[in-house]
Amino acid sequence: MKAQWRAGVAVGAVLLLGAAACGGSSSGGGGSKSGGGSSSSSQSIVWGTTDKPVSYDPAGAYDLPSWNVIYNVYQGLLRIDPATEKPVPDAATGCTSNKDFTVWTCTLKPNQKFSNGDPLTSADVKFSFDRTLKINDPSGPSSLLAKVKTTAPDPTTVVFHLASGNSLWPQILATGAGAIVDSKVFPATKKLADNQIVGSGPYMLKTYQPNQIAQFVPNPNYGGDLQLANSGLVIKYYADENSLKLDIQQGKVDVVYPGLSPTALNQLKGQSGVNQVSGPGGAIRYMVFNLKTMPGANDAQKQAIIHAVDYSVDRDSIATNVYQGTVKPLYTMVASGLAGATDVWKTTYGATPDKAKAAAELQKAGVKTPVNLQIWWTPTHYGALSSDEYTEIKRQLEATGLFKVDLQSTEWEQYTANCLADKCPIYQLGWFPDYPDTDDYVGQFFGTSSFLNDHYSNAQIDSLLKDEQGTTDQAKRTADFVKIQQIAVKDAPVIPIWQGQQIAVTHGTINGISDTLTPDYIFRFWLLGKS
Amino acid sequence: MTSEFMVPTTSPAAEAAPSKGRRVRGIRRALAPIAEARGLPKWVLFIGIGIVLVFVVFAIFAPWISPYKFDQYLTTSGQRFPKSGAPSGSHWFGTNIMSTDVFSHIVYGARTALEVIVIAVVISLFVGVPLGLFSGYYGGPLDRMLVLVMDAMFAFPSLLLAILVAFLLRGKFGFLGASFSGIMAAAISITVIYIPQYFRVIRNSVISVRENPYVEAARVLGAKPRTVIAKYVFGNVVQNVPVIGTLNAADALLTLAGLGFLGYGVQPTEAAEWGYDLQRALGEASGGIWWTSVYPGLAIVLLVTGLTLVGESLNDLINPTLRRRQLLPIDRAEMAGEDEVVAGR
Amino acid sequence: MARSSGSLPRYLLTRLLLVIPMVWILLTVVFILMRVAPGDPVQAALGGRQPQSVINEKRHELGFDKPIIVQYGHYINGVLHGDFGQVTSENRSVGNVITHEGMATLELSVCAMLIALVLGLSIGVIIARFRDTPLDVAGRMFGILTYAAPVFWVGILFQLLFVAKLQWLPSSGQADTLQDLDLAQHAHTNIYLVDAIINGSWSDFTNVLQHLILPSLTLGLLICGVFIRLVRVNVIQTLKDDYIEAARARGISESRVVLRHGFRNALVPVVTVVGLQAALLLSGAVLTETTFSWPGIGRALINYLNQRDYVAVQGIVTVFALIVVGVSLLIDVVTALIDPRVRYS
Repeated sequence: MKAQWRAGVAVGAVLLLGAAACGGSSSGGGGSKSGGGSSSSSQSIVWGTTDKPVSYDPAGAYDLPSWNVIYNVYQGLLRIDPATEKPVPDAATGCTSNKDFTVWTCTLKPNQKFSNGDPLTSADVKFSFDRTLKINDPSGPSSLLAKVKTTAPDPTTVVFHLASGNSLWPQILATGAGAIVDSKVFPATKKLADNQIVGSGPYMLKTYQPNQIAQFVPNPNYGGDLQLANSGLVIKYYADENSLKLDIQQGKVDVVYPGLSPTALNQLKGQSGVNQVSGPGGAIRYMVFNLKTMPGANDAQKQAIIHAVDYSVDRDSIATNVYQGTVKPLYTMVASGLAGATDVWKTTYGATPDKAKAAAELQKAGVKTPVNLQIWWTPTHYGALSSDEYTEIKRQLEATGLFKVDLQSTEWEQYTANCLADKCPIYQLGWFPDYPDTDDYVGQFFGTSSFLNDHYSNAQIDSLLKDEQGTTDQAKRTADFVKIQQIAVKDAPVIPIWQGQQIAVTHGTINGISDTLTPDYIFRFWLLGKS
Repeated sequence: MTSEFMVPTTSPAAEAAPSKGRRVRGIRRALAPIAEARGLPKWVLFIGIGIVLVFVVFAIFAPWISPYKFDQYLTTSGQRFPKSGAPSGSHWFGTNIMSTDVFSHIVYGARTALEVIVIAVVISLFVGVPLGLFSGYYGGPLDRMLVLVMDAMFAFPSLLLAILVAFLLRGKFGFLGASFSGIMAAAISITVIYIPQYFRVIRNSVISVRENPYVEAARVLGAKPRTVIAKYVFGNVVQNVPVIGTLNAADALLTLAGLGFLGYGVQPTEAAEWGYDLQRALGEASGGIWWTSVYPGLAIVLLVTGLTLVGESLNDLINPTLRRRQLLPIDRAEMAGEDEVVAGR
Repeated sequence: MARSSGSLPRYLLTRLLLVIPMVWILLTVVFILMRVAPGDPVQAALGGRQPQSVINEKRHELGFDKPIIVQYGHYINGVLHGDFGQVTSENRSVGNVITHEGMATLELSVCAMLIALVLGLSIGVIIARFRDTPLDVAGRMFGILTYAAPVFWVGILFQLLFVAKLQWLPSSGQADTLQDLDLAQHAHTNIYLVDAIINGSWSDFTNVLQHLILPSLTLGLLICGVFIRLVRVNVIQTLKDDYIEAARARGISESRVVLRHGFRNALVPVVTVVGLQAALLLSGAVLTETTFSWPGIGRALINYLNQRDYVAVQGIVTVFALIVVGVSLLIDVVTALIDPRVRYS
């Protein structure tokens, strides 16, 4: 026993001594030599984030953190050009369709290879789409592909047969759902482990420690036309933003995106060596009124209540006090920057609360005040500040004297089960786009079978949606979008609240970062360079 | 198998099983150690009691002590409180990130803490002690089954169990009203952890007591099991409870803080909670904003220390093997009228 | 060590057999807890993005609406084959989580336990020797305070001091980027410290050690308090025994008496408590890992819980339960080997 005790003390002492001896030595980062590989560490970018990816295998990914990697490691037939936000050729030279957009034909560039040397042919494309649908992973993008049938008549041609015509199929091809995988490596009926992925994109995965660190180096067999501004990228995954904040201050990471709360961003303002770059984001937050369960004895009263809330919400206060300027007030259900987005809520209800108008609306419809509103929000899915946001909304509504607000919250799981099944009269929701097109907003929100489950239906909007989905004439579509918003502002039971800014924090100067902070949310590794 | 601290199975005072007439004297004798002890344990006990009393006063008189409501963010004239403002004349401990007053959160947090602890300990007691009593006394397959289940729960990491239960109970107590549902959920999740502790200690205690000759004598004389338990067994084993109770209360507070820190505790709109405050303060600490993390942390440390001191001292005082008593002069006259001999050591 | 024929093997066999029902109970409790929670992976992934009808259809396609008893059978069957399920929110199996994050937690826990033992045993013995002096009070207060201070609060304070102010040590993670990549590329056991030794890389070793100090110190402090109090009580207990009295009478110095005789016998319950602390370690590890961003299994569990990845949570909690049962079995066996009295109970 005593010997063991002595040994224990000895080991402890050695550990502590060793630690103290090394305590003063410099930290890892920059400067020292890296292991093998053609990239020298001073030229590669270290990207820190708190967002966790679900899967590097495209068949199992429908979330932004996963797609951020997928966009850089794989090619699709098309990709989105950051300058124009339109699909441009990637692995394919182009895609054409028939008149009613049900059959799409794409032509592959010849002689392309995956990073391991395997040839990329139409068979791989067909394999990729088939397996996504076959695996049907709950977290995967199969719902985006909507039962498409893919054929590969010859090695450089791919034909898609859609179940129903969709003029936006090229947009979908350019998302992470359209990533092309190596049919010789990926299994057909289940997902491949993240550390074994093979793609044909500008980067390839070299080292991977799940949820911790991932190293990407340039793909020697990349056949596309993108130029890389760096010689590699390392992703460091952080569990909490505290450590991330400290590391960006000390220069242990070069870029942080996304993953810092408004508080952290505020604290980093004015720190030497730390810069913030922002760009328009596509994520929006809004409130939904369930026309079946919301208060109000008849349709007119329900409309009046919705309009009264429209007149009472102070978006500027939310953006400033809760989010400290990292979000912008949103006055329409479309992310600003997209075609056809018009601030109809601002022109109709004004940018500042108007208690008199709100009271007038309620009085006109004969609604007794104060109106009891039960508003639901969720603490888990939309960020920790949802609590503050809805506390603020409650304060604003009650400050008018016209409402009494009861806030309810529950975990995301229960929340969707409840609120999307008529159990919540008023609830918080958010949206980020699959692809940067206005249809991905208005189509999702105002169609009759919208996932919002607010029991809203407007025949005029439905026909306008059909119109814009059936054409590629941008001018026509924009006009349709404007009309849809003008109808919705008076009619639809939704209230837009804010649109997120994409904010990246850099240590030192990183070139090209603002070029990739675009409404499509695609984080393009190849644009980032250290000066 | 072993508990963290040595608890006595019996104490000499109660061993003598006073009959009805000597009940009063028996109680006096049970409290005697506190009066007789000298030196360290007594004033440590009083410090502990003092600290706990301060927080109890905070909890009970919160609306009068606290300068603002815990969720108040406006002055009486409608001005917003500063966000994460430094300590000042109007905000003694500063304000936190939600623009609420830190001192008010400390005071109302005491209320939340004590509500949760009291509910948790009381429920654990009322479930764990009877279970331990009957299981220990009757034995048999039911006893073995219970021991297995309790051992399994006892061995499991307590915070994790609390997290799982708290997570599952969220929102299930809505019928109790908005502010109480979170407290109830937290209390129940803590209860689940501590029932096995009471069960084990009481059961072990019962098992050793029940072998005593006077208990056997009572049984032989035809006393019903209920009488035996109530009269002889219960009195002996129950003196373990105050010690475990206070130490469990200390632990329960730490568990509550842990739950709050991870986000599974009481929600900020329901009540102030120190662990949750620490979670919100985490992000600002490295920015030099220390008052939002230091004060709630200190509150937790103080209250837990206070409860632990009380428990430790009670343990020292009640556990005869640890007790150091003064040598008292023996009064022969008094001794003549006694049946037992009180020995100094 | 003398063994009477048959009693040790019989004890071991009985103990082993008891493990089976305990494990089964834990597994069933875990399964029930997870099923009580609402939702499934499909709802989690697509809720709020697709209409409920699509979600229901997909749920049916993937078999998430099968009857409970079928799912239970599937779960138990999987565990028996060592398959703890697939993580739904990530592209890996729970087994993969164990071999990566689990090893990180192992590294942290072992270092923390070492620190706790060194601190706890040494301080405990010293203050037992100098009982009731100011040193004793200081030592006991230290033990109480380290337990009373929430481990995440201590972690924040350490970070403020050693990271932000003094800048001696890193704030988070297991290693810096380069070392992390190097160790990921040349992994053997996935325990970074051990791998660095195997690879013979001094820079990797020191870097990992630097990152390891604060978290293991924080966690070790939490546990050492228990050891201090336990060792102190047990040494005092033992020092009351007759043979100690005899040793003193023989003229052996007090320090020698304490160290040679008292300490040794006080160690027996420590072995048991080390096992009990395994549960406390796991709980503390969850909080420590969250505070220091240590990529361990406690942090992973919280992440999965937050993402409602019930399959992953179920798998990890199952492994925890098995670990706890395994450790408790191991401790009982070791105690039985050391202390013959246990075998006869």
